[in-house]
Amino acid sequence: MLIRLDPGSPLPLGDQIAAAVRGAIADGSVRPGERLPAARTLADSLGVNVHTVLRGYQRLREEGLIELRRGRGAVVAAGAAPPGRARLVEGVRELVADARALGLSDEEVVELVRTGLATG
Amino acid sequence: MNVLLSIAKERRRLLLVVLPHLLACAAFLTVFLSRHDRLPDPMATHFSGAGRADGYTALGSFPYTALALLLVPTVLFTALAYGMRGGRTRALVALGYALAGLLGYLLCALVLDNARAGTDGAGARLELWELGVALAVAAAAGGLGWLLAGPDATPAREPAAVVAPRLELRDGEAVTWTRSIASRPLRLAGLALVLPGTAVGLLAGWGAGVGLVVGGLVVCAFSAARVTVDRHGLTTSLPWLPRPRLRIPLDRIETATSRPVDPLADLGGWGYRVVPGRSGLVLRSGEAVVARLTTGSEFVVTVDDAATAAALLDALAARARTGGA
Repeated sequence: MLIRLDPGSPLPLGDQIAAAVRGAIADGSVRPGERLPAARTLADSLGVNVHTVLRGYQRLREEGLIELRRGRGAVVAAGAAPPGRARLVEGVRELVADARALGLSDEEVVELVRTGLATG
Repeated sequence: MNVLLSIAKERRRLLLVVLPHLLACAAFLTVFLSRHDRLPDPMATHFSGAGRADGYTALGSFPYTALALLLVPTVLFTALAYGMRGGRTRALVALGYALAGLLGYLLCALVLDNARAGTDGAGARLELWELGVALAVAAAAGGLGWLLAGPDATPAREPAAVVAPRLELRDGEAVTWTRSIASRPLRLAGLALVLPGTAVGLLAGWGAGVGLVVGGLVVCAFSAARVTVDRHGLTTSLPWLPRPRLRIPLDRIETATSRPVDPLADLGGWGYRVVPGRSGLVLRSGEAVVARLTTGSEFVVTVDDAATAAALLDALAARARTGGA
């Protein structure tokens, strides 16, 4: 799992961490059920605030890719789903980026997805 | 031609390993057969500290037990020498010679002492000085083995390093590479200690099983590791604890590459290993990060995707040398 933080990027550092972990889950270099480095350890390693790492982990938890438990730290969700799910989330992020570049509003994007779901 | 030469050399080396054990077997059989008529039945085969016999073996089964005692280490040492061929086997050869000398001498002395005792094995004595002589014979045999084995050749078959393009780091960029590794054989070995330990503990009381259980748990605990490359250097630690850890700081690293590693031939075994000129953590064979240190020695860690880790480590070490952030 390679995590690169570019201070010049418009993407917040927490999101950059989330993206790197998501990529690692998608390509299988972090396996379902595997424990991620403790937030404090990773923060020290990258030289960032521990809350920045926790924000990234929180984002992944919202996406259903990892579980955060007190005392156990961050663990990639178990089962066969995480790699595919991580790729799906990456696809969603691409979709959102493309929509923003085209100047679509949030409602228009949701409407597009809803239409796609209805016909799919 | 070179290949044929090295094959012949390896064969000679294996023969060298087998030879002392065969000589010990031959010496034992010669002594046993020549004294066979005068041996008591049962023979005295175990002695108290004072040298008196306190354990016996039937004459009919003694030679087989003795030969097994000589041949089991033969097989073990030959297999190890074969597994480590091309590596540093000098100490192994010497140890095999010493063991063959010790066992060969003791078994011959046992037969002679029993023959002296005549019809009653209870009269046989094994004096303390005979143990002293056995140790001296072992030392002499070990020394002979050391000389016969000759100095270890520096491994000629150093596999070519996989040259990874150095990762390009941007100014002020923070980078971390981390990956966990687990050794399934080590974990199974740990379980293979814990389960019988538990069974023994339940059946015969915990005092008997606790050693196996604790040993097994320790093996299990050290069967996995997390490898991290970051601004601090190359760090290996347990997956669930920040310490204990092994850390090679960036300023001690000259260059880093990745290449396939064979634990037995390159580091003499699995686990955390230290051999002259090389140390490291090897939980399996295969691709490894190899850091060449400023002291000229190597630090090796087997891990998946070692090429990426090595590329990053090399870039970080270079950045640290030029005084970058």
